Amino acid sequence: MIKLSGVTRKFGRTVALRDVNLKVNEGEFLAVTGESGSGKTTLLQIMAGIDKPTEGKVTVAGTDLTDLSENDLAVFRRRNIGFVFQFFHLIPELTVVENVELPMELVRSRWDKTMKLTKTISFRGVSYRTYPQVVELLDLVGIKNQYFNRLPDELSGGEQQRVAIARALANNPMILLADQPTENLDPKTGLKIAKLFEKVHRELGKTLVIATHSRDIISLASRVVGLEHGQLFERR
Amino acid sequence: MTKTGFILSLARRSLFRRSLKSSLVVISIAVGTGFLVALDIVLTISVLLESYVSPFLLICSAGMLFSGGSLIYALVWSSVKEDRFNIAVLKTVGCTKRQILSVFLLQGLALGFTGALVGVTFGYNLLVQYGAYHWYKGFWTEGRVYSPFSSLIFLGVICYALVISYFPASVGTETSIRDLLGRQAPRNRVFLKNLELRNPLIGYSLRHIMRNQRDYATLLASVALPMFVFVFSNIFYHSAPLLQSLESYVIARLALIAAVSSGAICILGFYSLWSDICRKRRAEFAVLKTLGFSRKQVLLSTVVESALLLGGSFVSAWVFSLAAIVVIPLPTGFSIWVSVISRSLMFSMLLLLILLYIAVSEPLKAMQITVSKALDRIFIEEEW
Repeated sequence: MIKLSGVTRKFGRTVALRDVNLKVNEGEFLAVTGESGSGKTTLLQIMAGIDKPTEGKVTVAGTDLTDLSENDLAVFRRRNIGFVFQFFHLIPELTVVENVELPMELVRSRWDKTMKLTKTISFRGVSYRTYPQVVELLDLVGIKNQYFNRLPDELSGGEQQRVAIARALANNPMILLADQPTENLDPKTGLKIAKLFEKVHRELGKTLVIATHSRDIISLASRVVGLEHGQLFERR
Repeated sequence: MTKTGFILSLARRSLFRRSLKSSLVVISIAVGTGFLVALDIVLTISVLLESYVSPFLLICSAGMLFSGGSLIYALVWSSVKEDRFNIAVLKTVGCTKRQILSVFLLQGLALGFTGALVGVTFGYNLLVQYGAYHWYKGFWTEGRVYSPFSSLIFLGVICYALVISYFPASVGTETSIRDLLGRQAPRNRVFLKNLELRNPLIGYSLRHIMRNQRDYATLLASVALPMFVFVFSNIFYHSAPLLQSLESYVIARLALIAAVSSGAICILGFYSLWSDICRKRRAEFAVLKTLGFSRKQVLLSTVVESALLLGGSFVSAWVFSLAAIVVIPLPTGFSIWVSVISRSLMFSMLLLLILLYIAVSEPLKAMQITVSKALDRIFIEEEW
């Protein structure tokens, strides 16, 4: 699914990644561990096509990312990659439902018959029509109905991260990448989010790559790799 | 440090940190006040100038004072938003609402005082300098320029600045400590009822405008009002040589001052407010890119917002200027009007082009930094 061969990423003099070779199979749940500054975030961003390697080749879902232009990368990300951030980064002006809808709107064609505005949600006297897929996703990640029409800053951290996971899954991508998704949450909520990732992996069969320090996620992962000073090694 | 000293230093720092906005406020208020004083002088020596001079002075001064007011609002509102952690700390250590309010009211007071002081001096000189006072009751005299209401205008402008700064400041003092310490700045919780616009670009920009009403309303006022004064005074400037009266020289000079100052305030005001908005949305742009928005789409969604704002202010500036011109009986014929209007249109289009350039270049600048840097928490909080 994801193949990195000889990937090196330099920022000026500092080397974030040094000759990384990694192959992630389809349906695998991979945890990437390592100290802060060891290159985890850079590795994930290279996989997502947000960042480009200085040297080496990246192939994701059969597409060679190294040759794509910035525009093509954006189009590639829409369908193939879901990204979850450490600090959630929901769009503060959009409600929960609209946040999940946004990536769907990006890829929806006008003639798509499977996307129909059949679900109506109402909140504080305002009703809003949305796609059943949005409601299904929010149900899957465990967001209660009364939160659907709220702005992100009215939710707790754990709930925001759930919405962020739903947003990452919006276009049914094959690959879900998460950059320290539980590090900004308390241990109990962190465990719940870890279990949610495991559920997504089990029920939807997504390929999951999570950069983390969390023992919960590491114990749930099917494979663990470590990063030290930009060099990759297998841990389990 | 005493409590008063602390409040004073907070207010001073806040003003100097936003030096571009503060100086724009002072210029705008000063020109507005100056025109008001000039109007007072003209009314006192009533036969001095033709009948259309006093409406011109009144409209220009009102436009400049209101645009100064909207800039004061924008300045105090951004200082409330950016200093919300400071407000929370002040509240936690036991400052009363009145003390916190005074930090922001002091800013309004300082700006209003400086603007009014410069304005009254400027107003006295406005007519003297251009020789208007020589023309008195049909004779060339050395009559004194005299404005009986100048002290009243001075006080009125200061009160006006204070009242304007009270509204955004009260939002800051009324917000609870919990909300002030939240991750997001206080924002309008306004929902678009049944907005079925699902286009990711236009629907998204419209929601953005509707849910940040306060920011965009001040931006609109700070662009539309000086633009109105710009168009209005342009029409006067271009029609002045055709008036064939001895005052055309004075009119041209007054119109030139109004046009140059309002044009500068329009451009710099838009630049400072729009770059603020774009800088704060850097993280959002990065998130949109990760979701699969192309660079062009992110840019387009911001351009939709600014195009709505600029287009709206351009059209309203012209509509109001033409309405004002119709009311004032300017002695000219049809063919002359065509040339006057076309020349003014050309200048206002030039202004609009400069504004459009800023509207595109600022989001581009905000998108230049890499995704990882834009999403770095420490970086974002430094920006606050």
